Amino acid sequence: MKYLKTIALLFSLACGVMLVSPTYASSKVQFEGGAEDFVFYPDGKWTEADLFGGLQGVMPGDVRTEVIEVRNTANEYNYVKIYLRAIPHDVNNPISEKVAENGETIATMTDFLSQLEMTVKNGEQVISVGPASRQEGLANNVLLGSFQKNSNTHLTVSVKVPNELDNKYQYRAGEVDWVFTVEGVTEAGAPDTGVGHETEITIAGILTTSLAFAILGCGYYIYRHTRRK
Amino acid sequence: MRMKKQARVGIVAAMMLLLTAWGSLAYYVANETAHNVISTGGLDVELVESAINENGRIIPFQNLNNLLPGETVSKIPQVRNLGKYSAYIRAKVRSAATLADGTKVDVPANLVGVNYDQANWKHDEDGYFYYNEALKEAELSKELFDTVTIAPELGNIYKDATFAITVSVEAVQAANNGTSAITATGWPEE
Repeated sequence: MKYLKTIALLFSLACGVMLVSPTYASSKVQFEGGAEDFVFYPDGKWTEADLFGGLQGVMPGDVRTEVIEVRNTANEYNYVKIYLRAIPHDVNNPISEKVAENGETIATMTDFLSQLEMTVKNGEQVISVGPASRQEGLANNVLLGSFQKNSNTHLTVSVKVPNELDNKYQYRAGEVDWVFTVEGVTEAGAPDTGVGHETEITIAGILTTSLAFAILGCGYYIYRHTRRK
Repeated sequence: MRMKKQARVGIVAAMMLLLTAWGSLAYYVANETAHNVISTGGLDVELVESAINENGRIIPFQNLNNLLPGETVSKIPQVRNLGKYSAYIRAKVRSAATLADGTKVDVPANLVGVNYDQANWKHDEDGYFYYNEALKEAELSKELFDTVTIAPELGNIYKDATFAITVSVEAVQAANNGTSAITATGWPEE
């Protein structure tokens, strides 16, 4: 009896808190749910949703890195799945205004981006390596993870500029479009591959735990009642 | 018996409720596009030519007329880095003349004396003067020279001639490019 109670107490403690270790990121994309869906906290100056602020003014021989935090803060779902893919520029996806004002066309921009090697990692996993113009690893949706509220992951983007980059590539700009897609799931017992969890227990978690104890309690009552008889 | 049956019903109801809560599932899908931009820097330098007038003030250099052999004039070329990135710079000086009959000739170096600042500009065998330090953003270099002297032995063929002392400047990035202007690579080929 005493042993059974002790186990129940330990179980309720285990449903509690995991502390979050914040990780610095220079830019952020956050799924907030509600009317906002995705909100970008850009670090760049070219567009309103430019996450590559650390990749400006690169020079031949440079290796530059940008860290982008991807976080879920939505209340409405038990967890969300977030995907990433790159989309090319064409008639249906023209380049942004400021990039065009810099004198770029899709053809010139593609040529420029093909000179740069770009590596994209999700945490420690490499998801794309190659010319920044192609990003073959991101041609289709790549699952970044399943995230409960306040859980996150970090994308690391590294760009390597060749030493022998020609003078004609001075003061150039190349646009890399990324589509973030979310699936919000309302399902109890949610998985979480993100880092960091919310500090409060979800409603679904309380309900599930309570029902489990209710069943155990009823079972124990029947057992004791039957034994007395 | 009644209590046992009630308990059984309660347990089954609780389990059904639990399974219903566990099994309920709804999906919501949305997407948004980030427009990320990678940009390169570049180099931009300008040649600034000034002179010291008779009052000792620094003024922009202006062409001078009616110079005589043996005369020394003030001409001060410097380089300013207009870009955001440090640059190595080098300069070359050419002397040429247009004679009275319109013939263009190079002027031998011994006929035009230039007072080079060899402490800050190193003369290399390729004919260029390499500035000793990387020029930072908005920085103005030390003078390449500050006076030009027309040699006293200048011959009569140069009477009424127009002399041109031309300074040309080139720059390469300092980042990821050696430790000095002389060891840097990427200089344009002539």
